[in-house]
Amino acid sequence: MATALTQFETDGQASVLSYNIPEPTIYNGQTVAKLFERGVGTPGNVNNPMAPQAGDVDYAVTSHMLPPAAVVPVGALTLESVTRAMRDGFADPAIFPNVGVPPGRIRYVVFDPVKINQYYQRVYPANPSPGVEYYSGYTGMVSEYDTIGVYYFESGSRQIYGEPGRNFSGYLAPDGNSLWLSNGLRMLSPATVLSQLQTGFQLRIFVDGTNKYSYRFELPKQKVAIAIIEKYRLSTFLGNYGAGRTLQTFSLLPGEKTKLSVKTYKRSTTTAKAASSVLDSYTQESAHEFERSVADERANKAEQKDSQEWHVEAEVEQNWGVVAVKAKAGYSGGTASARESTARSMNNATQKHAAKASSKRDINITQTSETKEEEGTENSNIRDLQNINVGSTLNFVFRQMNQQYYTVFHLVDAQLAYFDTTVGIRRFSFGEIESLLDLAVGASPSQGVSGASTNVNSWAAARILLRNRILSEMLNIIDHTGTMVPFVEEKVYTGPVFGTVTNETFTTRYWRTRSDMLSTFTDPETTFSIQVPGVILGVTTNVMRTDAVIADSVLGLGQGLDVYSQTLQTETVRLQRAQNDLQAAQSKRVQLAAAVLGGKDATQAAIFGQVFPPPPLVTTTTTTTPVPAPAPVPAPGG
Amino acid sequence: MASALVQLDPDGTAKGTPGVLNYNVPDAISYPGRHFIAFDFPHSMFHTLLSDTTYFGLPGVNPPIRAANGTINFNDPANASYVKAVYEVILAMQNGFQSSKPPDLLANIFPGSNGDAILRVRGPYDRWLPDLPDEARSLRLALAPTDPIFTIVDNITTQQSGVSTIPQTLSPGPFLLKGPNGVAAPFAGVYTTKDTSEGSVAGLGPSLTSLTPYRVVDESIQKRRLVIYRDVEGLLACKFVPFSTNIQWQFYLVEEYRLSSFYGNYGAGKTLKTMSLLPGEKTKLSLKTYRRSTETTKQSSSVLDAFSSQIAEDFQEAVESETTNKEAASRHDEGYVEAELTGNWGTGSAKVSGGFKGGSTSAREQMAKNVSKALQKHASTASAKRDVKVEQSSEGTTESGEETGVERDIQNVNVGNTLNFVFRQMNQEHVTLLHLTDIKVAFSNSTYGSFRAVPLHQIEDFIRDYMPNADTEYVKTDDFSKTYVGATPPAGYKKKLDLVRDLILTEASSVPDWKGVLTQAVEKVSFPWSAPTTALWGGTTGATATRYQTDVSDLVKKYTGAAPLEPATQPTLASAVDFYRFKRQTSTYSLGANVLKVPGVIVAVSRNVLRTDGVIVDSLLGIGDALDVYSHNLQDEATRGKTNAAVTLEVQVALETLKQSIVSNKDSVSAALVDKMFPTPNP
Repeated sequence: MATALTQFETDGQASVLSYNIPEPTIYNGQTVAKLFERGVGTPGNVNNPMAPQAGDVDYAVTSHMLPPAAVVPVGALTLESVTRAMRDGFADPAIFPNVGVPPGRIRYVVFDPVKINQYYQRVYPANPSPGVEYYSGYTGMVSEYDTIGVYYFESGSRQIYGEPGRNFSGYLAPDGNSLWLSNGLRMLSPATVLSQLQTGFQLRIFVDGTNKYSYRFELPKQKVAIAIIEKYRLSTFLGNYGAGRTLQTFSLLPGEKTKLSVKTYKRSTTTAKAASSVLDSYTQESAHEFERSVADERANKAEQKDSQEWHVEAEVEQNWGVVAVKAKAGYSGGTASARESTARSMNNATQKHAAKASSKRDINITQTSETKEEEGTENSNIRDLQNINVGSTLNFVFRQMNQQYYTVFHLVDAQLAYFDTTVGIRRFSFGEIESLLDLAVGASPSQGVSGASTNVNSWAAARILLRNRILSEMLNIIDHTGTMVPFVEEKVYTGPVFGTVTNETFTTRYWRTRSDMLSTFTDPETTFSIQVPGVILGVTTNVMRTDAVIADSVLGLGQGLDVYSQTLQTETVRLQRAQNDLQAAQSKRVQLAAAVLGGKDATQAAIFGQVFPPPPLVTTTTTTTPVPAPAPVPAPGG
Repeated sequence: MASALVQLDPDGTAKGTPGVLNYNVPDAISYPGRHFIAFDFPHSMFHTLLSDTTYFGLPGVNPPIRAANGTINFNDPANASYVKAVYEVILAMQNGFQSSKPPDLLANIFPGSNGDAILRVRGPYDRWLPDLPDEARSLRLALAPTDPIFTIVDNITTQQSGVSTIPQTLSPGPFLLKGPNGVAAPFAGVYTTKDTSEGSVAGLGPSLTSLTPYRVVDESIQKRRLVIYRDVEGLLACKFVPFSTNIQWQFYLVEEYRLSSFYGNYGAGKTLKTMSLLPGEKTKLSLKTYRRSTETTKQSSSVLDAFSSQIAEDFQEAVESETTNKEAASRHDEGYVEAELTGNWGTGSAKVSGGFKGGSTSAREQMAKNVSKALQKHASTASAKRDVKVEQSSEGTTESGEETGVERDIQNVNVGNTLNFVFRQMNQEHVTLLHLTDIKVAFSNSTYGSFRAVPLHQIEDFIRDYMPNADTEYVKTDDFSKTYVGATPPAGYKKKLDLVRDLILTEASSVPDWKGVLTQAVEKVSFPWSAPTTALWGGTTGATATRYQTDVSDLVKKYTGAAPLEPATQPTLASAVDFYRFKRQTSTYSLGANVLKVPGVIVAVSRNVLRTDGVIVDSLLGIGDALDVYSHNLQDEATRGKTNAAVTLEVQVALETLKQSIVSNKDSVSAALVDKMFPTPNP
């Protein structure tokens, strides 16, 4: 027999839909824990408070750390020399030491008709592009729209573009857009730079939080530091869901019809933004809002200034603060208490952020009359409601639905960083800890130990001590239950070496973070359990309102009908019931007839014929009339 | 047999339960606030280095000479310094709120350059607008074409003021800014270029958009500087705070509180209106709530159920008016500036000279009382404005000038009785928990930039930063002026660090909760330091000390070819990580069947009832009879008609049932009777 062209596999397995697969909303951030710091100068110098001193508990380590390179002092500056240096792309290290951008990436270009003659000579090439002026001393083309400004250059590009129709004095980006430079940088004038440099400040250009080049003036602080950059994650899971506050009670009088509108915070973009939170949606607004909560919570001037001084914003995105760890003698695990405090701040910030967003989640339920439309506001869903009861009022109670969230703050990874205010940040994985030690105390004894006598023993001891102290910080993570969890480990592999007769083996060992470890949080009350990577430092539960509404009805208990109307209702019901009974009885008769026929019982058939003579078996349909409202009451006397 | 492509998990309940709707998931509205407790440690215990002088000041500007009508002649040579200042501020405000001028330092208290002083205290970096947050960099100023600065002509005034020409950036053409409707209109004031390069005022509070350069200069003449902060709604706002010249060293506790409001009982409150309908009457009814107009909505909102800067300010005012310690409230020094920006609930003091006195507990209790009282007043004021009006309106008239509420048609279907409706306003109870969520330690010498707050775990280093010889000096516990330095302190003396730390922590820790039970808010925790296990250290045997020796020896061997003669000894290991922290605890409050949970210690509970705009209605039938005998009879007969119709049908059913049973029972006798009684009509 021919079969269909295609058919399902005979022993196929149905794929299974699970009842619940929890999915976290994830938010990432990092902190910088500064372990050891050293400035220039001799110990005990009041001008260099960062220099290690013999009494310090860190002296054993920090006195062996290499001091930062000294900054070239700023010489005699004039407006012209500063302007030229800016024009040359902030490349002169004597004027712009450690400026933070590659030389030539950003340039100041002068197109002001007056000033242009000071620095440039107009030239007339053989085949000029229309509308473009050419100047010597500068090889770019000049558009007629351009005025004074500092321009961003793609590497290798020497062409600049004006932004048509705009007349600002500031910085421009390539391709005629202004996306690469902040407004502040675009407005930076050589006069400003000069006066700041003369006061002893240095110019720093960095990428700000909005991903644009921005600048600030800073005092040169020559310091080096070793830090651990810890990467954290806030993972939010859904918990209970249920009815929350009562939004509105709303009554319908007997027989009344009305219209109802439900407006939620999601009706307008503004309110939706204000109500967004990182717990349930990641938007730019919610992220900014959350970052502000974190900053508020960690409000500590010293920390803020620290992260500026080390250019942390530029290098560490979504930074939640710089923590200075002042270590006590021995292996102290000084980061443990700092981490604890970070977890507390994060918990507080999460709670405040959630409460704030939640409170903006308003739902308005209003009765509207048909004809009126509020101007200026969008219309929301209008729903028709009716109280079909004539005897009682009907009350609706609307409640807003709430969602509970479990937010888990967990450490997922860590890196090492070497900060040098004269160079910038260098990052290392734990596997590269030896390279960090090379930078910090020197790769070999002859380079190390500034000031003190070059002693291999003390250099080696300091180097191993520094390594152990860095590692010990990550070997002691206090998790949310108060248990010490090690987060780094040394991996050792031993394997055969090819081509040896004596079966030689090699051994390689390196440190790494235990990023693959999993931690579990279990709510003791609900036995709700979740697993996340890394070490859990804190868990908060938050309840947030949602835009869902649940309604229930409550019937008024008072009776609105007099005896007459009530009797009418009773009798109407009775009539209806009798009609239905009759119909049912008639159907039964047909069933009976069928049974008689089926049984081929002649006697019974005769009786049936006698009792139900033929004509009555006319197919009459009894129509059911819907429950009427009580019939209009005859006016008395009418 | 082929199964379906997809199926639900057969052990659904084992691997995850179906979604359950909870009857109650309580959510809270929460407001943050801070309370300070100042300690009176004598000045002699502190470092003097930074504390003797005010080193930074705003530039000196001569107040302008004003005409009788208040205007300033910008071309009057006497006003040159004012004009110059205004001009500098305009440039600064147009350049992202940063001036090109360095700060004026009044005293150079450190040897070396000016920079050192600034380095030491980490700021200020700007002459006119010191210490603004980075967010201020996207702010710009637009001047109206009619701005008085444009009246400057090129004469002696401008030369003296250093303003020789009005630069292009001060172009007096109207500055156009797009409004929310997308239409550009002339704008003068502060705007932001954060989101669009054209500028907008989105995210800026009114205090900032209306800021003028003249105000900045005028305030600086009064020795007040600009601060920019985010208000509770997240809008950028500004205010001016004074530079303090009054030096006062103090340690503080900064207590972070939260006021969390939960929804409690909900039910019928006052009777709004009783309305009667005569038998058969029809009428129209209108319902007006306080939410009909923006004005009344604002007046009736409260911190208990909404969150906006307006409400927060109202509440803050209420708290401040409750604060009886006017002296502390009116203190305007730098240390308070940061805290004052949002939710400052006052400062209490703790006398510590001569030992622990527990002064903070009464200060804290007073604060809790003030906040609760303020909350009650605030709630009842808001509640009083929550009017709901139920009015009977006649058909033809509409009130003019006022929005009308929703009109509803109602009818009394009864002809025999009056019908009464009773309208009642729904009330919501709010349960508000004031709970302490964190404590920090802070220092301020009341001058610019000296305020610094750190978490509790840093307390020891914090004390060392501000008090000299904290680890070497001993202080007499009942007289702080008596000190001892040496190996064997006499009885009654305690190490300075320990003394100060213990006094501060004892005050911080002793928090009476709302039931009057003294709760420990601070704890010292100790986590035993786990020596790295063999597995973690790559399988090397022995403890870290051994490993340290091997590693050092290996490294030395690499350079010298031989192990060091003396094996390296690792510095002594601490056996535990110990530090102070704000205790991790959750406090509960039982509300009926629900248990409200908040972090920290609950210090006060208040329950307030607020009206809502919900209305519940019930009906009530009049008892008096409005019908005469005739009408009653008519009604009775009408009812009877209905009854008869029903009875007729019911009888038919009975008969039908009977007939069917005759057939079923093959009862020929009865059948014959039926035939006789109900003869078949002849067709």
